[in-house]
Amino acid sequence: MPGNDFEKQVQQKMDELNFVPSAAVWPEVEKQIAGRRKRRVLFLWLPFLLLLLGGAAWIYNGSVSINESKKQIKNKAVVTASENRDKAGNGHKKTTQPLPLNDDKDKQDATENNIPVVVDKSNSAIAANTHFIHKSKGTGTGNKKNVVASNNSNNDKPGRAAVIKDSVYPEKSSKEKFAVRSGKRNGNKVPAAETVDEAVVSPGASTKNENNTTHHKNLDDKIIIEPTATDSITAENSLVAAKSGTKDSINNPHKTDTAKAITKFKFPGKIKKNLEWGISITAGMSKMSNGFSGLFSVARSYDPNMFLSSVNNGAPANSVTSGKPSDIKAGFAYAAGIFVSRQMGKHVKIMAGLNYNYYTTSIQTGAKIDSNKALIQFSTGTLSKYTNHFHFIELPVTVEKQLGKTSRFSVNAGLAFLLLAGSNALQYDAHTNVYVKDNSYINKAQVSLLAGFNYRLFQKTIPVEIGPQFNYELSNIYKKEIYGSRHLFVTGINAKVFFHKNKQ
Amino acid sequence: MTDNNKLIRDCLHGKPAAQRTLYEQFAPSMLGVCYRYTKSMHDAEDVLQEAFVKVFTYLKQYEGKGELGAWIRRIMVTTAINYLKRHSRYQADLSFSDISMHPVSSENPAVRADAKDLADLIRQLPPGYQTIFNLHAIEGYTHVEIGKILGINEGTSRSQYARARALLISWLDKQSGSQKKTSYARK
Repeated sequence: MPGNDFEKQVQQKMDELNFVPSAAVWPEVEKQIAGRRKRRVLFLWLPFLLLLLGGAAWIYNGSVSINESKKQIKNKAVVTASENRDKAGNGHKKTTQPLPLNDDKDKQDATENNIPVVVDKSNSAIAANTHFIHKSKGTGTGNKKNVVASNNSNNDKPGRAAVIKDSVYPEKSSKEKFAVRSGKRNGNKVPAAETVDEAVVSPGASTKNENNTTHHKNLDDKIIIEPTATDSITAENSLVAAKSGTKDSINNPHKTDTAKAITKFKFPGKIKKNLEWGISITAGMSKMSNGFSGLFSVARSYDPNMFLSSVNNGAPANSVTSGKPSDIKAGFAYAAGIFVSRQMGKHVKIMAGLNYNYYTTSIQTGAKIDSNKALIQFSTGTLSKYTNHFHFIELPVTVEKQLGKTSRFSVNAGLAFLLLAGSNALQYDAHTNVYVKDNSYINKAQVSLLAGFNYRLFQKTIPVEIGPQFNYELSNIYKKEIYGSRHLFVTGINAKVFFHKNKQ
Repeated sequence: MTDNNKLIRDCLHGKPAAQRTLYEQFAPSMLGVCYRYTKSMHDAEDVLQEAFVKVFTYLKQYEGKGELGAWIRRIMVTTAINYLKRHSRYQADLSFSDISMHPVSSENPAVRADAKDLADLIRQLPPGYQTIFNLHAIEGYTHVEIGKILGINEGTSRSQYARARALLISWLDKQSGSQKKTSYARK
């Protein structure tokens, strides 16, 4: 029994029982602890990865839903057109109306895209309302930016239908990718078809005066026009308008089935318009600063004030050895990664990415100290140069603003979350006057402030944005209570290569 | 205690140096604990390693109310018991039968053997006796607690302990009487 002498004696004897474990035990323990720590870090990363994936999915779904909206609009328009055609009765002579092409480029596009365009010649209800407005820029005949009405010259009734496709050519057809076909295919003239795409005009449309129309901004920044006037322009007028508005009009009418032709329309990909992706590379230098105020000064290995404070707070004064720690000098830095950007407005886009960042700083050290402990230690001195490496995984989110409508210059700013993936950095131990590699003194998670200035090159091929980039880590790189305010500051030249060109 | 608090804090911050210090401070005595529960030093070190990983993993659960050494020791004992249950070579040791081959003794002889010899004698106890003797006589667990830990009846624990004690005393008597150590082979 525990109360008995025998048990007490056994307990006492067993308390004296000590063995020195073999050397292999601790490394195994250390390895398993490190493994658990890594798994914990992975779990910490998981929410951010999910956030990133979620963001990407959101951007993608947003684009898809816009496309779906467009399809719904298109379908609605097609239905309206069919109804109107039915109302107009059977036996109407259908003729194809060649679409006016604004310039040689449009003509070329039309040929390349091979999209038939058809106007029901005999159906004024359709024809009179078959007009297309692009972004409400300008109006009237002869304006290639705006409205083109296609119709039968014999019709003078106000239109009813609202079937629109590419009757209006964009100011820059290459940008809008309005599908226009010349009606030629394999050398043969193919019946043009009326198709529906970017805009819809509701019944009672008028193209005579744009003031008679109500403009609604579509999801795609296109304009839906709901004319308020019940009559305005005749089919003849519209035809004249169409013709007079173009210098390269093709006037080769062909009979066709409108409904069949509608199915041939080509829908521009919204994703391609709004999303860009590419790679980002930055090269420059990184340095340790004592905060914003110390950006341009040299940082020491430790903060003397913090050090004194720690001594006064209980550390034995006699354990402090005098020694001057090395200055921390700037070193080479680079970053590489991928990004995706989304156009949020005409001149603003938001970008998110995933980067690997490599920063270095350097210090002067003395000789390496042999130790039976599994620690890397160096004495102070100027014997050799030691490079501190920092490896970070970065998740940046930035907003980029184009400076001016046609300017190639832009500025960007944002925040980034960084996680230390590894480091060999030495920390100065003021009590023993040695440098020790101990990553537990480093704050693994960092938040940094990003800012940059860009100039866009090669807009028509593979766009590249290049310019200076600044990265200031708002978090202290080392534990503040030990080393005071220490922030990494990185500056360099950043280049972003866009593999998917944003079609504006 | 203050030193231990700082050590614990540093360990919780994941400082390798502090973890190493904690290990070096407690590993020798804890290996002694593991040694008593196992049959070989190799197994004892396996238990020690496994238990120290648990110590560092669950250190944040240590509230500082008791001695850190006692808290670590409980982890060692629990890990050792689980180790015995997990490994087939110890299964027979834990198959507690009520068949008694040994007399019960209520003597309280003086223990003159040194710690290592006594530990070796404990390790030579028959199946089940060793664990119950360790838990009750040295760790101070009650028979109810031992019953819960090992999944046996309180009575079984009590009887097994009594026989383990008697056997050990007889061995110690022989050892002190003859001044020889020949009858107790050591591993």
